[in-house]
Amino acid sequence: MANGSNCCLPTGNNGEDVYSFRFDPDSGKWKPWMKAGEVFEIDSKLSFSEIVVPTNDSVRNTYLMDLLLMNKKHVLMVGETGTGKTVNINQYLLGQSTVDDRPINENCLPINITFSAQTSANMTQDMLDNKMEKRRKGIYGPSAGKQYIVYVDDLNMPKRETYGAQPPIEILRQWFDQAGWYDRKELNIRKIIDITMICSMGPPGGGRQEITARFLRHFNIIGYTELSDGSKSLIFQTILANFLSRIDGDVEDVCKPMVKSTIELFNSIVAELLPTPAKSHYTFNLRDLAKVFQGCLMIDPKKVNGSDSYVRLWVHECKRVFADRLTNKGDLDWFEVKVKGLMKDNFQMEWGEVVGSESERLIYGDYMVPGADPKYYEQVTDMAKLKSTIEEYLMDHNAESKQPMPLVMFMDAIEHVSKIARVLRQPLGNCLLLGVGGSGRQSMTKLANYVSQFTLFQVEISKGYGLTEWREDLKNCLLNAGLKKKPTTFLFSDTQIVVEVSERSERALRKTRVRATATTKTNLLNYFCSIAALVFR
Amino acid sequence: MLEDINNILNSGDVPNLYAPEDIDSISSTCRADCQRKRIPATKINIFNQYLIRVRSNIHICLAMSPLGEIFRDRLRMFPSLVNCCTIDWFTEWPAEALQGVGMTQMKDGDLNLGDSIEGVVSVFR
Repeated sequence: MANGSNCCLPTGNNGEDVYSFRFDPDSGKWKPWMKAGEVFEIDSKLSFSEIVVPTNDSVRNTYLMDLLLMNKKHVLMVGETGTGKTVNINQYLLGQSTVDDRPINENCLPINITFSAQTSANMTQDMLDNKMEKRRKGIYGPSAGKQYIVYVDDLNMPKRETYGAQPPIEILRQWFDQAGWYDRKELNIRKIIDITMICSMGPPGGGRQEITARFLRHFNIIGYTELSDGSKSLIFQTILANFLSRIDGDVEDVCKPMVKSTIELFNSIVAELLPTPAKSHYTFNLRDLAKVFQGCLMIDPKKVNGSDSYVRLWVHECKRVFADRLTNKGDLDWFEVKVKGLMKDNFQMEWGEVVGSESERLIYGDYMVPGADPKYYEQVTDMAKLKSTIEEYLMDHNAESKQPMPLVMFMDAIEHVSKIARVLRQPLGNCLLLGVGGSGRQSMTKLANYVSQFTLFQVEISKGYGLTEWREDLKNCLLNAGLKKKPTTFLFSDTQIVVEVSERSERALRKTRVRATATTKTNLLNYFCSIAALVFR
Repeated sequence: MLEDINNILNSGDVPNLYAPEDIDSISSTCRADCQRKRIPATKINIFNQYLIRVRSNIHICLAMSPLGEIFRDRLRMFPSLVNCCTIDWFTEWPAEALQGVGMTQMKDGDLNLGDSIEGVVSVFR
């Protein structure tokens, strides 16, 4: 690289290191990853979940990914949840991000697979085999001239089997080592050509396994570091400033302190509210941080008056995202003290002046005017009116529904309804309701769903409900949501989980059942013999 | 089953869920989306458009009991349950609520208790 040209290593001015620069072979100089002074423009049509702000890390990693994949080298991305692996890779594969101003080669076709604890080797094989075309006898691949880029997300999730191997990974390893796998019906080898793998995974721990070195050795491994606070504030300040510029009045001043406080709050929560066996859901990640801002952007710019009201919204969103999952008073108090401190230090505002007294409830919602269009997300100040509105909704629901709910509404319940309705109105908003049986999780959801005027979908578990019925139900629900664009709430309770432990044993069971039902003499005899063979072996 | 939910939360897709005829109706509906966004209408792009539509329209509400080891294992095995969800913890109902429910029940029961309802309810509290 050096060959006489005067390219000494770059010097960083503001704590930049060697990773902050790339070598540009054309000019023979070191250049920063992102063009200096370039401000990222946000397309105002995009919804919050679609906004991706490029940072140094993401630009660099995309560049490396492109370089490797285009030279048919397999890539493995390792990094904590929420560091943007999946988003980066997907954007790149779909041609939405560019490297040197050009998107991914159009001859590269992505295939996405997400592994989970229950993925099996056969499932993995089938997913890939489904996409393959026959090229020559025994040789399969994408159509000629194309290259499949197989993206496996959550690579290290699959459970270990008895002997410590992870079957889905082993089948992929077989492809690396033996160039193919067996057709399970014909029992001959299928060679697979023209695919490149890109995988991503989180570091081992908490359900994620350590991966065998025999598999790892095939990859070029790129580490995703935790986003630096600088990158985080760059991302969220870009988004928030863009939104605030649409608000009349001087609220722009709150942008910086708001981003700073949220990041500080997030960092101290991650450091202090650790998951324990009793609080196993105390796992916070960057998505939660993003959700705070997503919430702050839900309000209509016209409905904001003054920075006080905007900070109030921020407090509300922080409470929804972080505090709602806290299980005891101690943690809740800790949280409130923390937020109060941040308000004082960063906003120079007092909790009492902005939010109101301790006992007052802080509720935002878009349901106060039934049937309004568009619905405005705004603060609910009149508690008596809130109560009567919700009760009206409940009465209407009971009048329309086949399963009326004899509920007595009180403020705590109303707050839960409003919390659920808030999540439902967010794009990609899903919620996990934790509580003991009978605490009203399902009724609250039904009511919130009615308030939001969505379609409710629930599976009905009856005797003999198995994987086939479940999949059929699920398919209909998804098709309904996807094809007819009907906003749907899918309510599912852990008591409805009837098939969990091993999908394979379920399938095996079903097979035997099928055999047994066709009660011809021969069948029965065969069945008996097969069992006898098993017993007497 | 949670495996499928995990997948929906993550990507909106459940591998091998759709039969060929479903794929047909998906592509006929979502081809227009591709054209509008000026993306080449390949099979994969069309399906991605479909997934975008699914994800923006489906909202999953999971009700789970946080007690015991099963819950812990589930969270560990399916990290999307926590990662992709907003969590709401249902605490014990306050006294106000219990009293309210009790009052309504007793009044509906029509037991001719007159003014002593309130007393009865608070005894059971």
